[in-house]
Amino acid sequence: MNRINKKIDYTTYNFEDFLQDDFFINSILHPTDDNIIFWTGLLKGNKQALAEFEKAKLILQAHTDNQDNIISNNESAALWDKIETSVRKLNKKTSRQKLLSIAGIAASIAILCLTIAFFSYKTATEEDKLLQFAQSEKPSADSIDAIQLYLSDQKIIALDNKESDIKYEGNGITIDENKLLQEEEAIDTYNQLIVPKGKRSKLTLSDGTFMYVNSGTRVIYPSSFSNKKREIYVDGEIYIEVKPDQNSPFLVKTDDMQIKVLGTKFNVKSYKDSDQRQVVLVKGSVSVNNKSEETILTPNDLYELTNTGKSIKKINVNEYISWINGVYYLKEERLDILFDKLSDYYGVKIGYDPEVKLYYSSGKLDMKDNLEEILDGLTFSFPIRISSTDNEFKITLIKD
Amino acid sequence: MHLWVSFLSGDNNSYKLLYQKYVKSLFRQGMQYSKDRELIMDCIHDVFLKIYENRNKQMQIHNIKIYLFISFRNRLFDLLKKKNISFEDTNYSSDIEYESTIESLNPEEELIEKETININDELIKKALTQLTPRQKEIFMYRFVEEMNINDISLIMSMNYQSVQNLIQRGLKKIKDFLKKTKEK
Repeated sequence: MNRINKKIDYTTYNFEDFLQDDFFINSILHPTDDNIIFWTGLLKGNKQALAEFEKAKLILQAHTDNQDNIISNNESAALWDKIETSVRKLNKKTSRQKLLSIAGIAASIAILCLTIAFFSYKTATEEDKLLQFAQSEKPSADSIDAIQLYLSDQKIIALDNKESDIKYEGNGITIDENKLLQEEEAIDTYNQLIVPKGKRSKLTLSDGTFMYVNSGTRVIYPSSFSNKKREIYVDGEIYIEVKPDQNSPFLVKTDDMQIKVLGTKFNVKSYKDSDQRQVVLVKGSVSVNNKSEETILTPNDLYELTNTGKSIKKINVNEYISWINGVYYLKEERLDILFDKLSDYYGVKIGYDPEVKLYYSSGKLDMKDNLEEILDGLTFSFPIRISSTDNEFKITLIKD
Repeated sequence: MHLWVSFLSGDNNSYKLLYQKYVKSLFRQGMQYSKDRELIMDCIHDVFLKIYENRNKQMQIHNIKIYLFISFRNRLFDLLKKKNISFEDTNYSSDIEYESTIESLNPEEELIEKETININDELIKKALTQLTPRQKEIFMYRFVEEMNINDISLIMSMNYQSVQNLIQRGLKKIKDFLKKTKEK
């Protein structure tokens, strides 16, 4: 916000452009020597741009000058007294555990607070613990809009960024550069990371294992690993780089597969509501167990599990892991499937004429562009028209 | 974030500081929906009481400002509903657009007006009154609270693109108004 974007040519801006620019807004509301020098230098001698700049400035300042909507000091003090009185009354009441009511406080998408029934391990066998937890503690990734991190008990952290970076290290969790101190917890308490459609996350576990988590994915893992084994559960897609540990094999469990590694890099794709079950090995060695047989993979192998069984073939791994950098490779991808993928990735509805299925697309998609730009780009190659309303896009075929 | 954390751990002074930090902004937000000052203050009271009540839930909130704005807005809608005032906040395309009309002046006034048509505060104030209530609200978040589009879309329950569209429509309104007065 307060960094100058060198790519922008402000001298061609009209006042509406200025008013949509973060740096401009920041400069006017928080003038510093540096940004004053920047603007005066830039606009010197350019009468047109200067006039537009001044216009935008006046409009911006008119908002802060508006005195009509301000609470007076007296009103504010009186209100605080009222609040304090109510708080005193509250403290006098005998306090009982109240059920948290979501609706009153934050019914909208940003914050969700649920009390999760604490899962009792006593009845589960050692092997099934993780899978049972996965089945029972299941807010699906579809129903919420924010990335959520479920620590044990009742602590849920909602993250409102599009991409977040979560690291477990030593005594605490660092989330997007903010450190949270972890309380003492028993080993074997599971945490859940839920990444909804349209969002992505990076996660570093306590042993240094690092993964990219794709949209619509749920990952369950213990807050710290025991010495004997390291296990996580995935419903969705991750690209994971496992820290080598000869004494403690790493297991990735999905609903139908179990992938065992010693130290390596690979991609796992297993979305509950899709038939695709894929493992792509980048480096190292893994064994994939699918309830009936065990297969060892070597680098550049794509292991695919379908209803008819498993298949293995050699592929170019870049095409399968490019998503971690926001790039997708399309190889004769049917347009309707592409629109569905984009819809999932951006978390926005895309409707389309059924006949788009007739068209195929190949090439590279850079997901760092916004969705509108990507869709516009497609109009150059396909006879389609894009229209958008508040929450969704609609693709129609141009029929001549 | 620090203020919230120390409030959660029982520091009552932090609670007061939280109030002082955000009361003005919340009041301003409320005024976008109602001119009833008492109602808005009741709403702020309710929100702060609620966070106090739920202090033991230890909710780790990433962005306390946005959280308060959203809570406040939701509570305000509840209170307004009780007064039978409801807002179609899910469908912003119904945000009523008023045709901006320049009042007709008598010939004398017209002359004076013509001579002083340059962009000044008065004119801009007039231009801003042409905005729809939602456009005014969104400009308040953007130009007074300095929020980014993502945060605004969380508060107003709209997607990113809709927020941008609303801002652009508001700016276009201002542009058209200023143009019209110039051409007179």
